[in-house]
Amino acid sequence: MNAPTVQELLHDCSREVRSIMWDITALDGPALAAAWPAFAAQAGAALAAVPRPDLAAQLLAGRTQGPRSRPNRWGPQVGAQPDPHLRAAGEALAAVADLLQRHATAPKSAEAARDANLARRRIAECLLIGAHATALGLHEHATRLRRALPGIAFDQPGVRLAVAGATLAQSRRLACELDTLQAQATHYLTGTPGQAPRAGGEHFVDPDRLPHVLAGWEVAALRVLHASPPSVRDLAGVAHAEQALLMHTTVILNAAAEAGVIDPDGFTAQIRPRLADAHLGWGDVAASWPAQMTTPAPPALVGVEASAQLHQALDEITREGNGWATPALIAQRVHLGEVSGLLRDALGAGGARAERFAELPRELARAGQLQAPARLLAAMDPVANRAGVERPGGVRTSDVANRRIVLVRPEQTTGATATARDLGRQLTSLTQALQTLPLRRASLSLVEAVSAAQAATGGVRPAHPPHANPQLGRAAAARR
Amino acid sequence: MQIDPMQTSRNDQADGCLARAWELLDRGEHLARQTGAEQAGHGLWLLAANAILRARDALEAIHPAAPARRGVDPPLERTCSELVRAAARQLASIPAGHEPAGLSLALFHLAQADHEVQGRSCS
Repeated sequence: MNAPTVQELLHDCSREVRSIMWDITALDGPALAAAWPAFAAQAGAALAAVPRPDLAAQLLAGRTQGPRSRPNRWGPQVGAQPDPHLRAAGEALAAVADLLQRHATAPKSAEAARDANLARRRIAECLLIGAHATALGLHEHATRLRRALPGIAFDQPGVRLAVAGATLAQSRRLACELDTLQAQATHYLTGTPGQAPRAGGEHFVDPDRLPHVLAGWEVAALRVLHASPPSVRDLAGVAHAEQALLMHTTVILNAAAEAGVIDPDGFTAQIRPRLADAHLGWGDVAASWPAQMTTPAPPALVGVEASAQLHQALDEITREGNGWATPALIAQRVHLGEVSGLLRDALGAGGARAERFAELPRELARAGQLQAPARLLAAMDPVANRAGVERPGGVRTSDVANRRIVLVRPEQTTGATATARDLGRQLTSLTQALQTLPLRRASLSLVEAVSAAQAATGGVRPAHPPHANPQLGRAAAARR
Repeated sequence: MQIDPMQTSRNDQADGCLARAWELLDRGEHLARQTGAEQAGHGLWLLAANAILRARDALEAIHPAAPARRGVDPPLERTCSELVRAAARQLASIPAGHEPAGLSLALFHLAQADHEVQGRSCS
C-alpha cells in the first residue's frame, strides 16, 4: 500500500476538523479542550516544517505553542477524553510534519514555492477551523454550566446540567485564548497569497456533509423550540433558515427536474407553487418574532452556528460565486436523487416545527416571558389600528404614547398563532405533493451516464459515486 | 474600593461600539429583506439577510446588552454593504483589552455577511 502524500494527509486533516462542525449540537467542549494542546502543537510543527517559512508563518507556528502570557501552555489541563476528530486531525498534521522534515527541500521553482504556500495555507485553515470548533464548544459548555433561567417547564431534562471535565472558568479562559489565536490565523490567511480560483465544475461536495448538517440543524432547531424560554432571535433565526431550506430545495429540485430525476411537469405544476407558498408562510412566521420583541434569553451561539453550517452546506451545492449555480453544475456536484430524497424528508419534518411555532406565542405570553414595545403591538393589531380607539384587551394608548415596553398578553398572540397554523396547512399540502412525486429510479442511470460523459469530456469527475438506493432515510443522517 | 474613571470610560466605549454594531447589522438585515421582497432574484437577498442576521445574533449572544440602545441614533449608511462594513469598523474600534469573550465568533459571521452582500446594491 502506498503511503499517503502531504496533500492527502492535509485533505484528511481538513475533513476531520470540518467534521467536528457537521453536528455542532454534539460539540463536546471538554473533549475538544483536552485534544487542543496536542493538535495545536502538531499544526505548529507542520507549519514550521514547510520549507522557507516566511515571518508570518513562523509567528503563527510560534503562537500554536500557547498564548503569549503563558508560552508552551494552553489553558488549564482538562480531565476529559480527547475529541477523536481533533486527535485524528492532529495525527494527520504530525504525519505531514514528519514527511516534510524527512523529504522536503527548499523550493527551487515558482511552482514549488506556490505549492509550499498552499500547504501553509491549508495547515493554517485547519488550525483556524480547529480553534473555531474548540472555542465554540467551550462557549457552549460555559453556557450549559450556567443555571437554567426560571420560566416555562419544557421537557429538556439535563440540558443545562454541569458537564464533567472543565469548570466554567477553565472553559472561558481557554475559549478567550482560542479567540485570540483565531484572530491571528485569520490575519495570516488574509495576508498570504491565495490559491488559484477553482473552476466551478471541479468543486468537491462531500456527500456526507449535507445529511450530517441537516440532522445537526434539526436538533438545534428542536433545542431552540423547546428551550426554557426560547430566545425570540433564535425563533426568527429558525424560521428564516426554514425559508432558506425551501429556496435551496427549489433550486435543487429544479435541477433534478431538468435532469429527469423527478417528473418535470409534476414539479412545475404541483411542487414549485407549494414550495413558494411555504416559503412565504415561513417568512410570515419569522415576521411574528421581530427584533423589537424580547424574551429574557439572548440568542444561543449553537443556533447561529447550526444555521451557518446549514447555509454553507446548501451553498456548496447550489451557489457559484455570489450567484446561483446552473442546473448542470448542480447535477455534477451531487447525486440529485439522494439529495432530493433527503430534502423531502427535511421538509416533511418542518410540519412539526411549524406546529411548535403555533403553540409558542401563547405559552410564552401566558408565562409572562414575552415583551414588546406597545407601539409595535399596536401596529401588529389591525383591528385596533382601524378603530383608533382603546378597546378592552388591546394596547393602552398611554403605553403607545410613552413608548413603553410592555408584556405581551396571550390574547395578543392570536395573529402569530394563526399565521403558524396556516403555515402548517401549507406544509401538509407540500409534503403530500412531494410524496406523489416519486424519484424516477430509471432516470438515475441516465443522469449518471450524463455525469460520466461530462466527466470524460470536460475533465470533471462526479463528486462521488451514485448509490444504488436514492431514497436516503433519516438513519443515514445519524452516522458520524 | 476605588473605581478607575478611565476604565469605566473604556468600558462604556466598548459597550457603545457593540451596541452600534448591533444596530447597524439590524438595519442591514431589515434592508436586505426589504430589497429581497421588492427585487427579482430575491432568493439571494434572503441569503444575504440571513447572513447579516447570524452576525447580529452572534454579537448579541456574546454581549446580550447590545440591543439596549436600539433606535437612539439611526444609521446614516445607506446600503447593506456599507452597513456591514460600518459594523465591522465599530467592532474594530473596541478599545484593546475590552473585547467581549467570543468576539472572534461574531467577526467570523460578519466576514461571511460581508461576502454575501459584496457587489449587491440595496437601499
